[in-house]
Amino acid sequence: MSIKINVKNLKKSFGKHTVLKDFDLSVKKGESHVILGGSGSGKSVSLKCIIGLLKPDSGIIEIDGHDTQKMSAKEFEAILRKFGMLFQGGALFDSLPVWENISFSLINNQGMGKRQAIDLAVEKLASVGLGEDVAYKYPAELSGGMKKRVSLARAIAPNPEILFFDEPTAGLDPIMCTTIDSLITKCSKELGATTVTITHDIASLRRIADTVSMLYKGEVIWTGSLKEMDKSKNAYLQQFIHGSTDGPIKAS
Amino acid sequence: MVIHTLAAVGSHTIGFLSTFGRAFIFCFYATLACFHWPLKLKEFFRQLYQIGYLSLPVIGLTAIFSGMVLALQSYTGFSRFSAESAISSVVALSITRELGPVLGGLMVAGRVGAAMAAEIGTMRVSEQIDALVTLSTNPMRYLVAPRVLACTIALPLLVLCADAIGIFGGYAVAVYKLDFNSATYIDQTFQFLKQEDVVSGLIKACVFGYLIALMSCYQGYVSRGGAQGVGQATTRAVVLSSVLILIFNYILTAMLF
Repeated sequence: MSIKINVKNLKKSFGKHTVLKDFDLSVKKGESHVILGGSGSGKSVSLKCIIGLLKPDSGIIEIDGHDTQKMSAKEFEAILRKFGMLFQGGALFDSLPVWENISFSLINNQGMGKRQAIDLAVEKLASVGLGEDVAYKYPAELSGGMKKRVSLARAIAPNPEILFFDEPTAGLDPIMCTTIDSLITKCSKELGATTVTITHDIASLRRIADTVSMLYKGEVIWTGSLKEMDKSKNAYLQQFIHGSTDGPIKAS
Repeated sequence: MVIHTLAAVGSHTIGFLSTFGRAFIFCFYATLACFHWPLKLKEFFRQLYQIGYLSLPVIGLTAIFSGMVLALQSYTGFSRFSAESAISSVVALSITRELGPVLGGLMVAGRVGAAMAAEIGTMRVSEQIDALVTLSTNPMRYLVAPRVLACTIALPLLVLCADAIGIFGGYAVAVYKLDFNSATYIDQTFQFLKQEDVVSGLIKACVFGYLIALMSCYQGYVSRGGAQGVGQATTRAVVLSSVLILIFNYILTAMLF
């Protein structure tokens, strides 16, 4: 399989505080990769650098072999169309109804009409297990789990090649976590998309991951498959997946 | 001790210059986005309605009471040297050249600037602006440009209404309270009021509208840290917009004098 996302020696600091130091990542086409790490380990920053929300201090980010750091704004806009993103809090647009949220990029970038946009939204809502009535509601009228599902529907609406998930199960009850995870797996498989998920939820990781990277203090300290993860002797990784207080990771 | 003082001064200077630089770059890209067609028309008309139409009551109230007070105060002063007949032209000139644009600008800064900063700030802290970027939508074109254009267009229209309402306020006090002759008052108002008086006020209003929208969008756009950050951004938007209105009022008055 060809490499879809390749990140090398990524560095990012905020003032004197270094968040990412030599962050490396390689994700194959169609693979579901999970970046695991504790709070403040640099997971969200690494994801924001890859999707262009933050400019890294140095390093290489390649999508389909093209270095995004050397691209013009227009070229990067084309790359952005390959991405779908589910934000931790959903990040739905409060002022727009659900159908307009879901079809947003198609309405604004491809001039999709209202009727088509509603039909597409209803179709995507069905694929995340929500009814047509939700399409006409506003985000403020939805529960946390519904917001996550609508956000997932928005992420998959333009049929992206790469899906990014930022803590998709954060703040949800265990049943909703399982539901969201199975929807993520189902939708990614249907689209044939490559996915990158950041999480600290081990149960969620086991449900969605093909490969895993463990991030600690801005560096990837372990990478491997889900099977290799359990057999790994990496003390940091084992402490993290077992949630133990004994080990090299100290709670801060 | 001296080193520490110098370091503190240097650090503040660098902080100020970097903030100024960021604001300047934001204003540059925001202005550029205003000329990028096609404009997001739906958002533009939504803003035009919110900034223009919904500000009309507050602008009208400000203008009518300003005109009424101006007529009363002018009468107190001018009657001391028998120049009561100048009241009509003083009211008209003050309203059109100065009070209309400045008070209108300050009221819009308070009402609309705060709302703009809060709305964009909330979008920033809840990652909605990041979501816009991932959906291949430029936030400058989608959020900032329609607000800047709508505010730049709406404020002169509001000021035009404020001019008419303010002059009417002066007329009402002069005729019904101070027993001026209605026809003479109207005649004297239009005799001394020139086109450039109204136009200079409208030019000021355009600039004030542009400044209010830019400053409010900028403060919202760079806000950080949840509800507290949005609150601070809102306060800064109103204060800085108001200060800029007063500074640019002098600059424009000197230029248009």
